[in-house]
Amino acid sequence: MSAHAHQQHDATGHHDEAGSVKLYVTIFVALLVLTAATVAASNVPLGRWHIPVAISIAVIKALLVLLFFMHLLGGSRLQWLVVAAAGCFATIFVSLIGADYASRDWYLPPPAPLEQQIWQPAEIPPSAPADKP
Amino acid sequence: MSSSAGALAHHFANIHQQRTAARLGMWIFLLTEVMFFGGAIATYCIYRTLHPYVFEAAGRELSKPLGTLNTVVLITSSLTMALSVVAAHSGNRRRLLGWLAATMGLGLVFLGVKAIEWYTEYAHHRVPGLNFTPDELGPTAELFFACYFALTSLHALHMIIGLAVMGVLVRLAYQGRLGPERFIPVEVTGLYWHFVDIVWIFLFPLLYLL
Repeated sequence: MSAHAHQQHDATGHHDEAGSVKLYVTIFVALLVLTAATVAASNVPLGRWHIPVAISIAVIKALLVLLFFMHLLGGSRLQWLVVAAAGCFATIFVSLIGADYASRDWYLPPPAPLEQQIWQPAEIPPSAPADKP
Repeated sequence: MSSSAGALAHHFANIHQQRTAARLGMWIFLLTEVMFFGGAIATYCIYRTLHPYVFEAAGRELSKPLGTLNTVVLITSSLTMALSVVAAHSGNRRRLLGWLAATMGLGLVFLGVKAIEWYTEYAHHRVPGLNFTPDELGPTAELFFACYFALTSLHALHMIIGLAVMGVLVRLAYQGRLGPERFIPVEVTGLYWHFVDIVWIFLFPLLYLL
């Protein structure tokens, strides 16, 4: 696991054999503990904290797999760039989808006064332009 | 073609450049997979936000013990995959074959458990487009099960592809064509397999726990 052995390989983050096996088993145990934690948390009455807790644990587990099993830690800068690009674009796309659904009823025309609603069919909004002659 | 002479393709300057290119290719492919699964998971999250009560109640119909078991199985298969890569690096052919076989076995266990779950849902008339019958949760539950089957079957498809690739690796390893000079096939398959594991790490709480 020394920095030396790492430098001799071509930017892969591979360590000596015994060292990496020990590291992998440690990460594996951490993933099992986090799985037990997320299942336990789902059985506890947390109210509105259920979703943040479960997502946080999932993100930690994903980071452990990404950094250690997939060797992002000690990986080349190009690998980091690809991961950052994936994160940025996924965030942009998901944010825009969320913004669309969250804002759909923000700019509906205000309801007409009650006395007008009596005389106008509901399908025609009060602000509709007049038909051409 | 010996394993060392055949390792370097003619269009690369040296073996390090070739390995970097192979790894980068797999990472870029995984980037597209993030977009693919990201869209599918975002769809599920939006419908869940729009119908929180039905989705929560329908999610409780899934078997939490089987979901947990499958999570443990998949995490263990990620460990055995990582150990396959170590064995490939050190050129230990018997260990490489053993760890690859263990990874494939665990992948098959996962798919078997998944098949049991799908069969249970079929028996309870919960498969949209096939036999979905609304119960007291109403027709909106069909939306949950549509998302559930779409997400889990796409994930299972990725696992089947991974198992097929590992079958090729076992063949290459058996023929002695993988080793300290040629470990990149094992390494990039490992990257793919760990990614499929990460997808399940998110699907498990979203579908089974919340």
